[in-house]
Amino acid sequence: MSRHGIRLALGGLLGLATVAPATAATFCVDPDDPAKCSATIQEAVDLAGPGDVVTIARKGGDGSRGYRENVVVTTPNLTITGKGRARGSLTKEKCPPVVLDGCETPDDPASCGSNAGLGSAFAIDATGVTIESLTIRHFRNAVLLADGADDATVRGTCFVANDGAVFNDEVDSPTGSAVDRLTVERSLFRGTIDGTDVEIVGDGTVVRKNAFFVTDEGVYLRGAGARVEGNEFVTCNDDCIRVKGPNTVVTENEIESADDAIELDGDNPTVTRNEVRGSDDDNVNVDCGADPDDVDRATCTGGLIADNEIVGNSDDDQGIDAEGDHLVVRDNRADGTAQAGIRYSGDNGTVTGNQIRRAGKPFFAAMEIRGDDNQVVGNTIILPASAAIETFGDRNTFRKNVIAQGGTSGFFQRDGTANVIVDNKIKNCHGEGINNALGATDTVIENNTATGNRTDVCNDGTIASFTGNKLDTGGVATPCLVEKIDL
Amino acid sequence: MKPVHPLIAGLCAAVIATTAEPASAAKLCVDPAKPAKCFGTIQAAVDAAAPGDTVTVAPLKTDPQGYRENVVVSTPSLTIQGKGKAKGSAARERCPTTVLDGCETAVDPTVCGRTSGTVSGTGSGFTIAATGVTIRGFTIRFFLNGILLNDGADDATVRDSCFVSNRWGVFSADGASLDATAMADRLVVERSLFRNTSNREVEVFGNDVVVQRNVLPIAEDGVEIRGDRSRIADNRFETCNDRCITVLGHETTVAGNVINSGDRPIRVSGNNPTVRENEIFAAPVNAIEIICDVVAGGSDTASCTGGLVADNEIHGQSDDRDGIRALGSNLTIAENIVIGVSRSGIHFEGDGGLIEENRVVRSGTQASASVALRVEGSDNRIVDNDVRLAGLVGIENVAGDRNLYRGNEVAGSGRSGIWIRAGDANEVIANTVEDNHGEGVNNGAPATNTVIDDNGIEGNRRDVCNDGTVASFTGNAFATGGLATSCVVDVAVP
Repeated sequence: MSRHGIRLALGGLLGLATVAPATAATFCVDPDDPAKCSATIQEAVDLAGPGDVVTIARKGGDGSRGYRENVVVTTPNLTITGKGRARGSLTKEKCPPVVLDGCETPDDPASCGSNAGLGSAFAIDATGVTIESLTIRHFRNAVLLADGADDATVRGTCFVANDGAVFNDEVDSPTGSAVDRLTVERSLFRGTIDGTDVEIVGDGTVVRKNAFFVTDEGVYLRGAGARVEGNEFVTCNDDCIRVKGPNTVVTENEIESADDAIELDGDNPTVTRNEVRGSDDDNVNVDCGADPDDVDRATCTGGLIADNEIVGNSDDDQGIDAEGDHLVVRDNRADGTAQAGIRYSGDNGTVTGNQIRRAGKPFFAAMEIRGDDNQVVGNTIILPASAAIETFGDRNTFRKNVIAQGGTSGFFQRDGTANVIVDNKIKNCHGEGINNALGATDTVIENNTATGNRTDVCNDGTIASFTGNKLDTGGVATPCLVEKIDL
Repeated sequence: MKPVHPLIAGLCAAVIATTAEPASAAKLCVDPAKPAKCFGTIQAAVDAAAPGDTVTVAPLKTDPQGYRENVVVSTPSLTIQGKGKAKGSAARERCPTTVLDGCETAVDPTVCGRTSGTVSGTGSGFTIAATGVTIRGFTIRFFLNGILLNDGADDATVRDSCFVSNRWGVFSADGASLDATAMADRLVVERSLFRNTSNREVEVFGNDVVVQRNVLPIAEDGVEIRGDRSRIADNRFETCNDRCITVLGHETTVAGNVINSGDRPIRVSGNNPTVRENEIFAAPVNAIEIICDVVAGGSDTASCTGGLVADNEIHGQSDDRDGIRALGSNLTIAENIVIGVSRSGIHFEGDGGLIEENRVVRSGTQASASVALRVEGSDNRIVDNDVRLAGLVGIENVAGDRNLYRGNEVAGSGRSGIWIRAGDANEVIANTVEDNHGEGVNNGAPATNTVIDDNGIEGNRRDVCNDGTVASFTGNAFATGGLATSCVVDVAVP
């Protein structure tokens, strides 16, 4: 270390004695103030001890290219901070003025190429490191976390035109590197080139209150207990949120225009209060099971999909596609989805209080239930393109649902035995109100009100009980016609 | 159904004709509940009517299955009218109470449904085999074709009707098959509602077709027209599983449509198209695609004589495609607003075009081909556009000579602001290029004799860089870089 470096170190120690507790010295980086500060981030980082703070000034003079470094952090509990915050809306953006630029760095000395650069702005190989209030651009990986770099925080930072922003390992083919308890918050991501903004393997990852504008893939995580909360996504070229692991929470995110909006694989997921508008594929896709790479729905112990609002998807997919036993799908609203508004595949699930409007297409009902012993209660389905509710499975109970103006059937009991249809209201469907198809056996149909349908009740299968129903046309002796299954 | 004696029916029609209307426009009614006054079937009334007459069809109040007929209309200038209008929104729908049902018809006597994998019947609600026929005020469901137009069934109008769960709504010929034997010119389809159609709502082969003010919630393929001078206007599409509007023909106008969640919202092939004032939200594939060619469906876009893409608003596009993709010379692309597109906000390929006063915000990611405003071709004018917060490059001259970039404002791009990647004698004049994360004005190695004058270029990573040759560089305000500064962020390979 040079004399200059020693003086800086002493300065750090003096500062330690006067302005901060002994465990948290502050080191500054400012090329325009060489008497007090380090000229490079790496130099200050190397001087700092565990728990210290490195503050980086905006690069003055001809500083438009920013700091061009590939910083390696091996000191634990370091905080490296620039100035300002990341703020963005659809039409405006304000990023921190302290810039790290991946072009012309030691790792990428001549250019940053037709794509992003080759190196990383920060390679973190220590625990408890915080990176905040920076603009980081043109890197391959803006923040690269080594195996074991746990408890890191990335905050208030803009990531622009990087290949990947925050990364430790490839989720699809993990090499064994893991970082636990990473937090990425209040940051802004845009222009990620053919990569993922936040791609992490590790447990307890939190991604919250960030903005993702026109990204390739937003958040892709592998690990237990991930929480993705309160983020805004506008246009994801692939997935916006994708997580593989148990006990994931995805809540209060706003997503507009995604290829796949939310996709979770793993046991016990929670997906609540998200707003998803305009997906190409499924708006919310949950595969619940013990192994996130080979989901067996029978191993799902539970999960909750609730209070989400979904509007529009356009490529033959579902609003909510939930697979796994014991799931609860409740109080969601799904409008204008190209196939089912809600498709639930599993046993012993609860589908309740959902509202679906104008969902489905020929052969695809607005709500599709595939499995046994499910409770489908209190849902409202209006203007489904074809059938409102279609069932494959045994001993499901459909109770107190309201169906109106189906393009074909109201209830289409396609197959299965001992399903129960009670206390429902089905009116003004263009096809049959309740359609008990040839493959449906021992169906219980009681106390329903089916009126104003082309034919209120039809039956090609067998019925165990038919009492207390109010209907004007058809009955258990009336063959089904509009939707007819030929076994 | 109680049969109506033909003599009674004929007398009934004659009496009405002589008392209520001039001889040239009699009214006939259809109502099985009033056998003394009206016909029992639509077909009987239609057969009894003369050219210019009106047939009114009452709702079947006691039979929710509706009229189950396959009506053939061979009398010209007939109006066949049910009761009510079609009104629909995302949450509500009101359809005419006169229902024509394709189940258990003469053509399809035993089924109409999903039997053996088919979605609807094999017959048509109305087969029009005459000119000037109007169908209005019906709910038409469960047919192969709600309305089938035979060859020469010109000047038809379909209005105020709901089409539910048909395979096709209004159909004359398969556009893809080039079946020119079934053409219906001057068709008008308006104020109608289409849903749960497994193929296309309106698929017509003919000239001067108008499709306007319809509602299409959850369409499969929406509207597909093959013919010249089509006009598709003021329709509302909510979720198109494949295409919303596809037109193959010249002098097409697509205007004032609202399209939410269309897989491929607007695609027009042919010379001199006009696409304006459409609003498109969340389109996975190109929101507006224009292939302008004097041979409709051809690929000689240099033969395009003109066309206009203006005042459209596009918000969101998510599967690596463009907001506006316009291929053809002499096109004008003006005053469009494009926000949040995953590849290029505007992608123009052609010569002699004008790209003017567009606003492109937060567009471009993933591939290196992603540019907020991308130009390939020569002698184009790209003027007064506002390009902000591009994911990567703001404006790129991918290839082409003598293009003029003037008066554009480019700010906050993730990489270069204006990149003259290649081409000769392109001009970059009087632009404002600020705060881009790459170079402000980047003259790539293959770019020769570029004119860069009178630009305000500030706050960029490097305001100016040059790897090519520059014919003029005067009057620019900039702080960093210059003609001797090599380009770094976006580097074009010669």
